[in-house]
Amino acid sequence: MSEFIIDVKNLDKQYMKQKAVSDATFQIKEGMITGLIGPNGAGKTTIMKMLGGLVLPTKGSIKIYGANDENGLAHARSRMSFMIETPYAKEKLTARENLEKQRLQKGIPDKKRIDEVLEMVGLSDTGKKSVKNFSLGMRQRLGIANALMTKPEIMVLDEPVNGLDPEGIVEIRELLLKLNREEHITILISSHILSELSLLCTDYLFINHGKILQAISAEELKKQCHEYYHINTDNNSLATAILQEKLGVTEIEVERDGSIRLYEQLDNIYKVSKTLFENGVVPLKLNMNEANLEQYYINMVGEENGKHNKGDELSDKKR
Amino acid sequence: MGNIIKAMNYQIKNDKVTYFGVLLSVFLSCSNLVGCDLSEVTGGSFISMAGDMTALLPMFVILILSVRICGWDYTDKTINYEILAGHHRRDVYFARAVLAIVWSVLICLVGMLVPVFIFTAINGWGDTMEFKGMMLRFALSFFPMLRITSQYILLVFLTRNVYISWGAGYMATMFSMMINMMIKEFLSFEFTWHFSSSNLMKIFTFNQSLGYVNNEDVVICQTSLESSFVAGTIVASLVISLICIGFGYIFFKKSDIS
Repeated sequence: MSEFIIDVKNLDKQYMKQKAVSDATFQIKEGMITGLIGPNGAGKTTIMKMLGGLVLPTKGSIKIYGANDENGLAHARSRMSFMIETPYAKEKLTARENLEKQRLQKGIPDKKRIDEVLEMVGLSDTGKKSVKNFSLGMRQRLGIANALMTKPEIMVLDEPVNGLDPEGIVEIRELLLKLNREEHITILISSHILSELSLLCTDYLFINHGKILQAISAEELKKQCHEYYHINTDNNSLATAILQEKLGVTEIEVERDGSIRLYEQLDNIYKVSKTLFENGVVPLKLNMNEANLEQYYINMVGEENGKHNKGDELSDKKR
Repeated sequence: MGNIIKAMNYQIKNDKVTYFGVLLSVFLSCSNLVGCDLSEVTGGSFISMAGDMTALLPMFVILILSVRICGWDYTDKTINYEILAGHHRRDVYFARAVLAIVWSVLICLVGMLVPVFIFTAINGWGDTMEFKGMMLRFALSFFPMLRITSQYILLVFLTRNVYISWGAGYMATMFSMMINMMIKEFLSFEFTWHFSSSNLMKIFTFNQSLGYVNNEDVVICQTSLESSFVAGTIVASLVISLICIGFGYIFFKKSDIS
């Protein structure tokens, strides 16, 4: 049995002349809260729709709970809940009537579940008010209530805090954290409010132009976003040894390209560069990095857009 | 599929358009009574006077209701969330198709039969036509109603838009009736009627003659139908229905839902 409850491989979605998703591969483990981050039109919603069966992939495979056939995926989706784009609601019905309809449609025997979920999302007092008179925030809450009706094992939420006031955003965040902690619900969530995602997610998927740029855990991202000196010298391995021996640093990492990340001595850069120089190592590059999720995302998307534009230019030239 | 049907029934019963359909159905079926002395209208004579309206009524009522039942759920993403909930597309489609057929035919029959039973209760069945023959015609009318509903179901699933389906459905129905009348007029050929709404008109059009019953002149309507007409109606309706429902499903199964 796979350790991953969602396993997506080489997923493509082609619309006429445009590729909405290109070769997307990612896995989600049970208990994760994964943030799907990307600009508008990046492919986030398309991926969620493919997971939900609304959009049929052009290529690639989706496995949910180990199933990738039609019947298996339908059964797996019955253990999930989704809120994609517009939250679902019949305009002329009240919140309670909408959930009653969902209860019937999903075959939930317990009528009390409606009261429970309305209480969870703060919509118990809407009475006979029909959904057409709801604010955007109230509709979002109703959408989340709808998603909670079946006590799902996985929730896929497309911008669930869109339109909520700051209090509402905090409430929903607390609710999702509680559901993850106490009911072990796995969550895949997309949002443009990166500060909120940074308080919520255990893992991130960055996407742009339909491609998954990076899958990274929150811990790893924290290290990358943590303040550090990025050092490049004429002899990086010697530089690492010198820093450890002479300055006693322990929080030091060597990147794949050999350059160094130093998480200590941040206020003492003069001492660092002097120590290296005195021991025959010439610092070629030494700069402070202090990225947060937002900066990390902007840098990543910026780089990717640069490559993408270059690719477009090359294609134009070929024509 | 059972759960989807339950949920949709709940929705249909709470929808004002359903009750509008019932009222429209009764109104259209009684519209030919304007100017008549209602104390002389019997169950049998009501049917003979309703005439063409008994054919037009189902077309409009079925158009409004079947398109509403199948198409409105595209507008508010009900269909989306049923698929997301893990229902097979097959169940999502056929639940709607079944309910569209059941509710549309039921409301049409209510519209046509309720006034019949009321006038029968007040003034009796009368001598205009045989009751058994009339009921068989009503039973036969189920087949073209099934065909018409299936055609609108296909239209809705192709267009995914209620308003376009209403407009296109109306135009297509009127156009097919006009073409069939022209074919009959110029070519004396009625076979194509089995494939259009003109079929219903023929079921509720009677050969009338004058009779003398209980010292009174009465209009007598012949209720028997040619067996070739009955067979053609049933076969054509079933074949077209299967084709329309089948194509509708294939299209729905293979398309993306936005």
